[in-house]
Amino acid sequence: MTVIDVAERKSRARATTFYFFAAMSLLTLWVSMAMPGSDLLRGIWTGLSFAAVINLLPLARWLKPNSPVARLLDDDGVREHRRMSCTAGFWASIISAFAVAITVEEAAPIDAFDAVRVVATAAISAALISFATLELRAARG
Amino acid sequence: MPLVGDRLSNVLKAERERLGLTQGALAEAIGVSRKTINTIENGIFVPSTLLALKLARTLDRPVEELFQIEE
Repeated sequence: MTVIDVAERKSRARATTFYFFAAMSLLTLWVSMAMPGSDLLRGIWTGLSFAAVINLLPLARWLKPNSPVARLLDDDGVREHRRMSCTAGFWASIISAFAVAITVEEAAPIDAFDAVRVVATAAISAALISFATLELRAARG
Repeated sequence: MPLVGDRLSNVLKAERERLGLTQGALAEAIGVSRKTINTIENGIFVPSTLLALKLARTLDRPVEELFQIEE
């Protein structure tokens, strides 16, 4: 198996993990908002979100700068996908912030921490899903 | 001068196949992943100058023969 094959396999695994993180982040947000006051659920959401954000960084390249596989996992194409997914995350956060503002004005007040969690979850999930989709689409064909 | 909306076409696939290289072999030769080669060939990703020059050197073609601005 060549270094290209290893990088491709790891790249696919990373994309699948990102879908999982995005789904879990949305799920824990939804469950914890349905059950307010649960510190455990808030803690799980915080841990998952932190792990997801850390995974969006080019950690492999920073930690192993001389590894050929780590370099392939953060090559020109991947960096472009990361830029595009961060842009998607930015717009998701703007839209969700407006949605929270409208909800607070028109419907019911929201706890400040919950408002932050909604905006952060939207940003993180959009970035993760966008990155994973771009990576898998690029690998096809 | 390229304007917004201009598209870059390329003959990367034809040149790669002329040398009997797979996407993986070309990727390995220039130090990028196979999917980066795939997205360049499909016109999805516009490579940096550095990457374009590496491709030209590996495929033994001038860079302006590999990449053209679509009229």
